[in-house]
Amino acid sequence: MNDEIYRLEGVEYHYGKVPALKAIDLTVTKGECLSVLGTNGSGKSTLLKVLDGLYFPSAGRVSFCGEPLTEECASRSSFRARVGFIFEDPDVQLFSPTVHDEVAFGPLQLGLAAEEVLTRTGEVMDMFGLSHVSDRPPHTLSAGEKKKVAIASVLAVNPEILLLDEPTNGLDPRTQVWLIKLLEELKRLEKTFVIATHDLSLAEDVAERTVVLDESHRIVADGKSIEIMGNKELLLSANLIHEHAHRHGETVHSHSHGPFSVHDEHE
Amino acid sequence: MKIPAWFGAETTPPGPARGGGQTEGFVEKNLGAVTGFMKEVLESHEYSHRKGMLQAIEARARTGGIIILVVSAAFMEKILSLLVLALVAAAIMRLSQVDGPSLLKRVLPPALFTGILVIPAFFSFITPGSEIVGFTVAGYRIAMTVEGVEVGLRLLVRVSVMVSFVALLFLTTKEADLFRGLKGLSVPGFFITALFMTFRYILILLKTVEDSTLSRKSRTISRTALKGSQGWFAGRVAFLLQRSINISEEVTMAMASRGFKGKIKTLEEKNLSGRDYLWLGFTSFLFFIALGV
Amino acid sequence: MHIPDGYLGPRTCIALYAAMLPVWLVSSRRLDKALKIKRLPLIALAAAFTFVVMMFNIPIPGGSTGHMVGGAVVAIVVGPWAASVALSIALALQAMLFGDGGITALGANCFNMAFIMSFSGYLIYRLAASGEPTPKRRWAAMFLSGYVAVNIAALAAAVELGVQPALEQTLDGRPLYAPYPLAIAVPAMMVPHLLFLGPIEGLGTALIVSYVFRTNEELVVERGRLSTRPLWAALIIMIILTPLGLLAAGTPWGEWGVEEVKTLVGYVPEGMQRLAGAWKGVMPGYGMGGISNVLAYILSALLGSIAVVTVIYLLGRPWQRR
Repeated sequence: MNDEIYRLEGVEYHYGKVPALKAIDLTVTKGECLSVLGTNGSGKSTLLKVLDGLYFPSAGRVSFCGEPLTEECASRSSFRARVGFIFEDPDVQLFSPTVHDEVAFGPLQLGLAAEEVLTRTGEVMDMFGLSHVSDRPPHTLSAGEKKKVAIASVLAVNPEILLLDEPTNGLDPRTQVWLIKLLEELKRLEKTFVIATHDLSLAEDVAERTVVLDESHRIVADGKSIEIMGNKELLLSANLIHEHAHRHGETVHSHSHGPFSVHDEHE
Repeated sequence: MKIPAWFGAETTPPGPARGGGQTEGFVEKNLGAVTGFMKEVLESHEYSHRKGMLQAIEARARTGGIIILVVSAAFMEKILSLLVLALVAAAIMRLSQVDGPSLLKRVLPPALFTGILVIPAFFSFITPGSEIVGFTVAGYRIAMTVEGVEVGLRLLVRVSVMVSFVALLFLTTKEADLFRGLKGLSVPGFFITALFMTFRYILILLKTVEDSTLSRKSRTISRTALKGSQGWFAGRVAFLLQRSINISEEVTMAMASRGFKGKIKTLEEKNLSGRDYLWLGFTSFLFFIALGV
Repeated sequence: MHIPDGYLGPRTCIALYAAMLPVWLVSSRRLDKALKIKRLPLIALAAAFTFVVMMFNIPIPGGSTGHMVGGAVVAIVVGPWAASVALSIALALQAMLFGDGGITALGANCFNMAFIMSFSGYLIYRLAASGEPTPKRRWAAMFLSGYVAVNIAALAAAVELGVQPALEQTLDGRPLYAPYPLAIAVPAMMVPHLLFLGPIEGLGTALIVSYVFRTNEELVVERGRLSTRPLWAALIIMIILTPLGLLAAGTPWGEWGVEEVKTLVGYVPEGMQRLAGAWKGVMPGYGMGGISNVLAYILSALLGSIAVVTVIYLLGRPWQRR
């Protein structure tokens, strides 16, 4: 298939002796928005790192656009330019002295010309409303602004495939809404997304397809997001919802924790 | 979930807090050090935005010039010449809109330390010479000497002048520019990047320290034994180290993910202007004068 | 132990900067090669760690407080080369941002705390914990490593300070920089380190490193398959470059005359003195007839500064292309 971006077959990953991923089979096709649901420690982040060529599986195969994703392949600029990874903790991603330098970092490493880097950086910062903090060191920003810088610095490279690790974590409702709007915009540009999250509403709102990782580090479900969200048993067994969360709801009432708080939908 | 019954009981009688007394001095001290550092960093951000002489000079030239001045002070011999250089420092301070107290706060601690340290050198048992005042105790002659006072004062003035220049540089320069300035002085990129990153992580780690110290402080009801506090300290530090290592792995991956391959590429620097050359000329002129005075 | 600006004479400062130069060069090369990108964030974090540890005050008996340096900790955990770079970076930041330790004395401070302390701490630990150590012996090795390393570093600082009165004098023989001779500087520095700061460093090293070992076995690098060659090389460099190595074989502390110290320590700076002389020879003005001496002196300084600006301007050209 031409549209296939990732194909994972029997992928395993261990940290020392501790397993993080077990028998993962997964394909990701072009233009798709996939969410990976799972609790803390289920292996979501590890999976994203495998997809970004940062970790290499202890067993099994990963191919990227039909080619095996080896260390050699992952270190190529072309791979890095095509795949962008937004880390959960923006603090680890922001290491440059100023916001401007941070956004310019990626394009510079990939060898773009200086003028091109400057225009891109300027435009991305305008788009994110970051121009007024251009000269500030990233660590002096608020959590929401940090996240914006982290995303801007990845988008400046203009990747086709975006890997997002818990993108809504630690964001206030307003920034969460902003983020979801941004994802919607980007989806229109035919980008491919893999979003690791335990935020059910995010998975339901932006992703058409969802895979669920449970605490045994295996994929226990792979299907349409709507169907998965309707499967209460499954979500309970993966510890993604808790009985008390749907005390007064007939269906899964996890919406009440999401950014939109759409109570009226159920009432 | 079963909540133990004693959770509901009142533990201390209501009214003003009492008992326990102060927390351990060292917790306070650590907290003071952390917040003090944060404050100092912020202070320099404020000054670096003022419109002054040093701020107008390009970061590389500013750093280079200040280092030349510091080195000049190291070479001078006469107290009088050092005092002239102190006037230069004072003039730069005024022209750069730096407030006296901010500078003094940085200069006083090393100056005081040096001041106490040199007192024995005033006396004949360290520096023999012509007496100013003296007395005899049990056959020993203890006297202050002209030479001794000169030796002590010279060190004191020299240290104060050198520290002043360094403080002026720090106060008027954002740390990002400061590190860029070093790059202009042909310090290898490896070290500059490491400096940047170190600075970043210091702030992250300090936040961790502050949080954990505060949480300990809030839980301190009575004074703990010395041994207990030391154990707590080691636990904190080990936790810091552990956290450092975890963050470092993530950072490596974040950098690799954005195409970093071991050599950091940066944007070009601006050219030096006439003003920068004038400043460098002025400082190196002082340096050559310093070689002989 | 941070030596501030103004305590060490220019020659000592230059000599110790020069001594650190190969260390920095070799270690950054090694790190570049060893694990490529993996190392940079680790170094930065080790540096941040030491910086923070040096801010942490620990209660010592008597109600006072002191702080650790952390050189031995970092050296045992990340290896001595990475540790010297990390400590150097921490010290540079302290000098620039905190005014803790001088800029001119940075070479000296790095030499004592980044180089000597890291390598001696590491070496002592490797020797004391060689073979298959019991947990108790390993703990003791860590303590010993911290205790001895901080004392060696303090001794180096004391010697640097103590030779100043002999090295740098006015024409009438008065000290220009730190005024106390070895006989005073060494005990003044060593007594608190041997009694209080050493035990703190030792205890801190043991507690922290054993915690790290316990929680993260595989983390401690180069375990088991350590090549001792770089260590020996470092030791040899240390002996050649430092007065310490020469002094260790010599007469007891404090008994030397000025001349002895001068011959021992003076031979590196001597070349520099000649260089300075050469400079004076090139410049006009010193002893130029006709004009008054003062005027000639100022004129030559002016010429010198013009030369500096010209050189910077010319060097600035390639900057712009970079």
